[in-house]
Amino acid sequence: MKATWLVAQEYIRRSFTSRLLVLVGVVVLLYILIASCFFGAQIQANGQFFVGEGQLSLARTVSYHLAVGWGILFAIMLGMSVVSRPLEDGRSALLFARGLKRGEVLLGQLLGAWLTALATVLALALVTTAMHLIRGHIFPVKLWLALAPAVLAPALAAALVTFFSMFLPRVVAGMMGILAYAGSFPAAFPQLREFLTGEKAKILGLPWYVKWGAEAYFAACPPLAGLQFRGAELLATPAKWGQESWFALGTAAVYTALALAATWALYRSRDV
Amino acid sequence: MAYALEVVDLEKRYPAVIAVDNLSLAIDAGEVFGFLGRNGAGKTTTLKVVLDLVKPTGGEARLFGEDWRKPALRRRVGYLPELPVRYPYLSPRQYLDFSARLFGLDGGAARKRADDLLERVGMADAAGRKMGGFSKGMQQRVGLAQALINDPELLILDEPTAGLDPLGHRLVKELVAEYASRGRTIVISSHILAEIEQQCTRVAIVEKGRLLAAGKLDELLKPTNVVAIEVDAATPSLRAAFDKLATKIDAEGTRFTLTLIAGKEAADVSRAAAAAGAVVTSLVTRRLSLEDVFVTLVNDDNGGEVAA
Repeated sequence: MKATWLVAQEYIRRSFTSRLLVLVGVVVLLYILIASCFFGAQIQANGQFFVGEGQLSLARTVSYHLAVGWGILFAIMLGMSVVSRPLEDGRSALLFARGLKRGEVLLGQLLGAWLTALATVLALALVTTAMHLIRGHIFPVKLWLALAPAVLAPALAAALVTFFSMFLPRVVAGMMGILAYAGSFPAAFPQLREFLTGEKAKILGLPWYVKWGAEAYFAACPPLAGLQFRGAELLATPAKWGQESWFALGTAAVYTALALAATWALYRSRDV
Repeated sequence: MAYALEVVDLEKRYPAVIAVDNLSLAIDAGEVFGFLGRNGAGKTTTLKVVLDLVKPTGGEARLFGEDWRKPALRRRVGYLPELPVRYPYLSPRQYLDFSARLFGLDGGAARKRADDLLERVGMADAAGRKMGGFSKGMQQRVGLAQALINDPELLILDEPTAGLDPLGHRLVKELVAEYASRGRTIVISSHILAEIEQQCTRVAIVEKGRLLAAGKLDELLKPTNVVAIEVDAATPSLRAAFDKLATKIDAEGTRFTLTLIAGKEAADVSRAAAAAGAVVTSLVTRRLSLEDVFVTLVNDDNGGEVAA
């Protein structure tokens, strides 16, 4: 365990001393700027003016989706290289040569990536909390409730993309992660499923293999719709945790474990 | 007593090439062993198999007499890879501290070990600088320090002087001598023959993954002389006389380089030339070098001259 933790620490140090730190900084700054918009008496978005409760609702939605969505996308970015790059540049080989087991190294690297992604999500959540305090507690801040998916979703995203990166080019592995994200949170891309598998597919005359391929794709993606709280729903009430949410969390955990096990199997047999 | 390192009928096949072909070797504890071969001869692959970084397709290896796949055995090994491992975001001190902690040292002990080794490899002045801007030689010195961080019983150095300046070469030589005097086993993989000749007690020469020769240096270089002779005219009778004295003859006009049969001397060559009616204009004799042995073996294995 000590070796795993040392590998994770080394990964976190690497993440926060690289260009990623600049990227995280830019996102946090952007986030603060967006949140600051809600200090105005009224704001405009999509040609609409938002005032009062509408303004708050928009703020919640934007802040929630930014925090959780960014966590997942960041985890996908990290997953693209967390294991594959050290395998390529010889860092993993040197760790194995020092007597570390492959499982220890793999877990350490993924733990490091997950903690790095989580740290950025927490940073965004802290910004929201700060805005809440500054605004005189008018934000009913239950954003912390979003932390359950924020904890698990980046872990799942990092594990899936890492698995794909074991046998696909890194960029393709990242795209697979984004596809999995799109398929797992269908409401984030509501038109996609309908377009590929619904009535629209028939109207457009899409070939059968597109429909079947799309069905297989949506069936393979972890069903995480139960974690898809809308900002207003999450914040206005004490979150709608229900059977569907627990099922989604459990499914995410199982997919994460399966992706890790498959990655470990490939990792063990890999020459370095 | 168990060998420090042993490989038996080792084989590693890739779809397009056989990297290691039925290789067997045994290295005693306390030996300084040279592993020689051209680029791509299978040296690094063999060492990587021993460290369980590459899975063999046949045969087996033993470290300290035990199955090489046990991770705990590798904690007794120090390894300098062929290419320096890049940690550009760490300073040498941070890197060695990290390495020491992986071997179970903690806190002050890890830092002290790191500082001592950085001093030893001449990197104390750059101990706090990030390694991103280091030259290859500086990275190699840090690499040497990390290979020694666990005070290994078996030290595997893959091309240890690559990128080093002359002072660096001397440093490697001193470190090898120092660890050898402490009874540690050292394996040096290199194609720099002079380096191996100076430091190793026993060598193995590999080509296309196969073992061409192995033995003590003085056995491989046993009383064999090389004679370079120039005569006024190269006649068939002279050539026939030389054929009786040498295992190998390189001829260039009236100049001959003869690798003599064991026991034959320069005087025999001179006499043979005179008997064949040739006038000797110059004659230089020297001992057979490891380079001669290496080139002869590799050429013979390839059925003729191998392009330089």
